[in-house]
Amino acid sequence: MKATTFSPVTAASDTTVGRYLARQRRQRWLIAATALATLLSLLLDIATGPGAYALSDVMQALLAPSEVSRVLQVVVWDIRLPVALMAIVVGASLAIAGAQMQTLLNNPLADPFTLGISSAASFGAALAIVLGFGVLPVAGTLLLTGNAFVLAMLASLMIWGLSRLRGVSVQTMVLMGIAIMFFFNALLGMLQYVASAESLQQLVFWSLGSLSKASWGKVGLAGLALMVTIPIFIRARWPLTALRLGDVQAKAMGIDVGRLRLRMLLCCALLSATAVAFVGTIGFVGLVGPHIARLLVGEDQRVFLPMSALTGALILSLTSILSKTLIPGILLPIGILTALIGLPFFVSLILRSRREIWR
Amino acid sequence: MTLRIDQLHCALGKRRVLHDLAGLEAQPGEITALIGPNGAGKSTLLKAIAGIEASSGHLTLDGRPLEMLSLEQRTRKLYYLPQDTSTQAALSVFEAVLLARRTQVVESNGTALTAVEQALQSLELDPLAERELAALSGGQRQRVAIAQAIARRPRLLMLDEPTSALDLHHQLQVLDYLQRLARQNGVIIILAIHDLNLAARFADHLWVIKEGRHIISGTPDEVLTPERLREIYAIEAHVERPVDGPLHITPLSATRPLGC
Repeated sequence: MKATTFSPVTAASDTTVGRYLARQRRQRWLIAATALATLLSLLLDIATGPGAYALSDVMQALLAPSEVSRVLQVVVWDIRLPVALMAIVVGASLAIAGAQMQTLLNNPLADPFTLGISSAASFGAALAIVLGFGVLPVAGTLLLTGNAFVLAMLASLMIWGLSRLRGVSVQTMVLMGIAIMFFFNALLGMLQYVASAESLQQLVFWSLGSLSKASWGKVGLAGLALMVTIPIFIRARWPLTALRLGDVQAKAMGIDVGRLRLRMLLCCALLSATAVAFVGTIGFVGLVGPHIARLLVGEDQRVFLPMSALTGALILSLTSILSKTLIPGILLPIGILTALIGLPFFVSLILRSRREIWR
Repeated sequence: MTLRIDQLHCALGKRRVLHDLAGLEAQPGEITALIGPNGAGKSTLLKAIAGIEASSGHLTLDGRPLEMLSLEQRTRKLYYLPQDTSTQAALSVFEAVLLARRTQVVESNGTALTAVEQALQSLELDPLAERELAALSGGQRQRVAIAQAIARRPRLLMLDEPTSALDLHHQLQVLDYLQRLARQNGVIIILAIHDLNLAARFADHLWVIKEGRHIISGTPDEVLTPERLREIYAIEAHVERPVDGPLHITPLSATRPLGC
């Protein structure tokens, strides 16, 4: 025992602090490198398509649009950039939602899909597509988005309501989330059964997940959801990190765990609802992204949050490129690819990880 | 700054756990050991003081009612260290202690880092600073949890079985440190503890509760008698009272063996 009082350290060697600061620098470099890789992937995504362009042309079209041909200008700015940006925004949204749900429920398998939030959003979207029914008094694209959002919120509130019951463990909450998923999937199946051939086709295509219908307006709205929620997550960075030590320790640190769960689950609902509403069902990004982030930088939310967002964005952006290049001339639904790539990757991550992150 | 407890009731769901606890006082600069059999309500009492479990009654710290404070305000003055500190969080030891500090005070980075370094040094945890919590043994994690508590510099520190996972060397080291912490900084320390010999050696005062009721409180000499031990734990015990040392308790037999 060296120190016995609470007086400030006067002649302490800064070795421990120095090592911590070095770890922090390493984490920041990793975040910067992932951000750079995401930017490169974005450019490659824009360059890839039926007519491939050189990266230099893409750069020029982005930085000096007036100096490139009208065709290239239109392809880059009106067609490919919204799609490529949508991949980034949706990837980041799903990964942040997954990361926070894993934190809030202390479960590695928690994400918007496994907990039924996406299924609820899908059911909301199906109500709009099949029945033209709107939960909110809105029309057009917002009808589908509004439905998806309200239903996702409803599912989140159900999960949160369960968390308030005494004796309900986070494991029970996850199981209830799975029950919610089956419930909304059953309702979705019912709508599919009564849907017309045209709306069924639309619904099936929508549920496979696709970025191809991205527009500047949709990117803006999905981006807005990110911009609204990220500051809330940043403000709650310490309480969220404390939650990983368990509810009792978090409460001992003065954190109102119930209120924190509600606020953060609503933010997760907003992110997943907007993502699902605009691009359909895209699974595994919300699971794999946070897991990679956790392995790279740990769970201090100051680095875990940006790293999760970036890994999610990078994964979906790379998948978007793959969806255009895997079978030349055919655009594969991105949701199928994320599932095909994500599942074995997820399993190998668990098997290859030498650390037992979750009990 | 004194902690006073009067007419304290606490229920978990429909089950009443604490019944009218009254007349309990903990003084600054002293260690109070909270003893009693399993299920007596020791952890619940500490959680009720910390504001983690809802309770009714009077809890005052330095004459001010604690129930008037929000959980956040309360935990700026006091800290509860739970018995179970197991976690699989991908956080380094340094990050975990920094977290405990950052959830309490808003201060410059330098001040926070210094406080963390000091807390780690206090418990000789600096060699483990970069290790992840999930990679630590139970005892190491318990010491990290104590370092988290120390980094917050509370006026009232409550520790629930803080030595349960520690080897003998670290048990003595940690309790010796807590004793000096109480003496030198005027901190009120309350320990829930099962080891009566450690309680006799390090505590200035004992609170005994059984089935949620306050049985007796006093100095170890007053409380730890064979008659009281029979009443509290249903055991026969030999209590040795050396002239120049702490009491030594040797449990001899249970008065009610299992199955009888």
